[in-house]
Amino acid sequence: MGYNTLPYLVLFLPLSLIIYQVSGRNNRKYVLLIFSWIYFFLCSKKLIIYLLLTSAGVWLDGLAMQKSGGRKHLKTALAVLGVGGLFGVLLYLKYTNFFIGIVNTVMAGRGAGAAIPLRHMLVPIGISFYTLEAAGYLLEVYWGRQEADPDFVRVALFLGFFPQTMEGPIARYQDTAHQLTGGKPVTEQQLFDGVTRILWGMFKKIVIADRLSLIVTELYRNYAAYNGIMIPAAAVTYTMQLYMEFSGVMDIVIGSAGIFGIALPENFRQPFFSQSASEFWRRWHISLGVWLKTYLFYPVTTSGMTKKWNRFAGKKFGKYITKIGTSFLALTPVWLFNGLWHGASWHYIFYGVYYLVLLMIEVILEPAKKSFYKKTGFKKNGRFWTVFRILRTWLIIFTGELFFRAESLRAGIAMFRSGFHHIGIQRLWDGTLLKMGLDQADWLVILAGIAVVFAADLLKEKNFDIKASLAKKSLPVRWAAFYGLIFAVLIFGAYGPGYQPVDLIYAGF
Amino acid sequence: MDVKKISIKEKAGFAIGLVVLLLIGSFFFNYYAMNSLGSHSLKRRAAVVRLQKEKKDTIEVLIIGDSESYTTVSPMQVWKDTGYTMYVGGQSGQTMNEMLTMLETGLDTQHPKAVLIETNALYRTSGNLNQLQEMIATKAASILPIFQYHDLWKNAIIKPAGEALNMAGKGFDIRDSVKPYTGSPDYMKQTSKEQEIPRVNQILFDRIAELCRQNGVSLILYSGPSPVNYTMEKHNRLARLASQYDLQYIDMNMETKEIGIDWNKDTLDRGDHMNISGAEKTTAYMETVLKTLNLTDRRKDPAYQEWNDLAETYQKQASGAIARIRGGAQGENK
Repeated sequence: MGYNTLPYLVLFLPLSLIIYQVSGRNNRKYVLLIFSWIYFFLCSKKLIIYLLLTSAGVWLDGLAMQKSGGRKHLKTALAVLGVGGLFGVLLYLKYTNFFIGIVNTVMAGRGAGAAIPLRHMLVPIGISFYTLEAAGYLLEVYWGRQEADPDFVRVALFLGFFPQTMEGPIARYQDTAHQLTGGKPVTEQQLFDGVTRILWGMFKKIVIADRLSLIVTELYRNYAAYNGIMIPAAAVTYTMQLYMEFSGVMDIVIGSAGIFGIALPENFRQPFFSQSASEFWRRWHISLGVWLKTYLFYPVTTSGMTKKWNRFAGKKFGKYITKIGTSFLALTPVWLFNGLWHGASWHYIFYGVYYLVLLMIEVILEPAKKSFYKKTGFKKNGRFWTVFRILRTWLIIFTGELFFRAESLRAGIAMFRSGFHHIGIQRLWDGTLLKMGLDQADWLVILAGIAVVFAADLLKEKNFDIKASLAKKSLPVRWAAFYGLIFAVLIFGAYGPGYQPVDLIYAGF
Repeated sequence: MDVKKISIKEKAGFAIGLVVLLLIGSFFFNYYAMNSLGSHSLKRRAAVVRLQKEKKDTIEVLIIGDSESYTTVSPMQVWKDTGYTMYVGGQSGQTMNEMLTMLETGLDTQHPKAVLIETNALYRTSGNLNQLQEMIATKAASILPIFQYHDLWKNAIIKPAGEALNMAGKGFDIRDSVKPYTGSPDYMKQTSKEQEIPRVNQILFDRIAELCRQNGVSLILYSGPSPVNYTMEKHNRLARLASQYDLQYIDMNMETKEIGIDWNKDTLDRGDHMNISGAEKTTAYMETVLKTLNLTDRRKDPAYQEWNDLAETYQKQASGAIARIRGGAQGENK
């Protein structure tokens, strides 16, 4: 039951809101938990057992760590058990076949006989998301930054809150858990803001992303049939689809939670205005970036191994090399994890390594960059250089997404290489691209839709508050804006006869 | 925006304005769909629009179902042979929700004496949640057609060339390709096992049966000959369903010899559907059932002259196609 579907929007969400609202303040957390588990059950049926066991295990493990007092070894053992258990289950369910594949390839290379058969694994919805949240909570308790929560309902809700189940955002316990059990009533303001946000998300998802899905599917599925300009076209259309879809669904998710008065963390902050790869990752899938920074990057940076390196390299090679080495030590696990987290496939690992290399290049070139600006006298923040850096970042993003979406690493490499053959730029307008499952009218909607979203992003980037500005307008203008949004979704949405429903992309991760 | 500062009057005004706009939009799109468009623009909605455009109270028998329905019974042949007015409201891959909509559409403008359901759709499911989604969407579209016809604005940009809505076959098109079925002709192997009908489909079937009962319409179940789609397990369950509701069930898969199906020539696509040669035989078989329903022969009624004209054209085209299929084609024709 995707968040953009009618059963969610007109049945599940309203029903949960009504029952939540009519329940007493103390019972509201139970209502949320029951609806969250029902939601999970509707999506994953009996696999809800994984969520239930995770919730119970994490709750108990947190309490046990808390009670371990000064016994550091016991606390560490409990943390290892908890976090190890969480990632063990994730590894088993999502990555068993990937590792079997590797073993089989190695065995075949050595001429060994029968291959290990692949297993049919059923994976519960959102396991990649709730595993990170659960591990984050346990680590916070282990480091003493968070008291273990004695309230099982709060822990269970933190891991299973239904708007977050499918695609996150990956919240931190200290940021959201207490809101979940606060039992505050739904206010008119929350309802209005939430519904507006949901509508905006629906616009991105069903007006733009679902239309692009047709063309993206064709270009990536039959990639061998395309080359030249069609490859950048594939990269750009997929990047647009992914942004419109993922950020659109996040709008629906944050809007849904907002109606209950729960502020979930934002996952996007105008990513296409980034001026470097590292900035892009501070604006794109922010909650994953924050998790990786908090629970991988910082611990590695402050680990004994890194400290040893800093001492050793500081004396031997100087500041510059030391910084490069430290960055490499801390960024490598982050980006390998990032790649693998998205899925058990080499092209996801490549995607992680791709950004690792880019970020390392950023670190290596930092002094040269500074020197360049100093010597040439160019203004770093001048309009030309800003636009140049944004466009360069787009190139980086599109290339990365080409590999990310490819059917496999081999397919990604083949696509990348074929992009340099028979450029044939006329295919952008001679019908090859334009008639690939879409008609003129669809393209018009896509381009206009993207323009609207980017205009909104630009205003946000300039710290212009669209909602506040709209509130100051006269009544007819305000009404026209809301009617416009509602009817844009209703009329231009890619739903109904002639359109296939498109599953949520990140729900697959 | 501070909602508290908005007066109740303003809020009510906004809601009323929204409803009015939805109604105006629905009227506009519905009118446009009914009066200006061909089948290309309407896509699968064309079947519903065609049925809506049929002259009021002229159809005595309505057939609903998926592609098995519009490849097994030809209304023009039935007219020519018996003078009964029949309409096939079938759609490719029709779901039970769509079947219900088609029936409701038919009952809105017609007073059929009988409704024939081709049963293949009873086994079509896309999962409970998807069916629920479809159910809500169908209901919303029936109240506010803007949900169903919303994308027709595209016709203002793309002018669909030369696509008239084909009303001639009364929901049936002549299909003259041949791809023989090479499997066993005894595909209905005796067994007492049953293949269960998905739960949601049973609920929707119940609503269809109830709707027919309320409107005094005889409901008949039938299964067109199709080794690809039918088995004895399905037959057993469908027969039990018919008996539960006290309905007549005709399974042509059990009567292929009597009907005279030639699997080398009568199938369009290796046993999935009938072509015109097969449809001519299955229609003739269905006529024997229709004759028991006390329907009216209207061939001499001047109000139905148009049907005679259409039947004449149909007869010429169908005879030619059947002769081509039965005359020469060995193996694959097209």
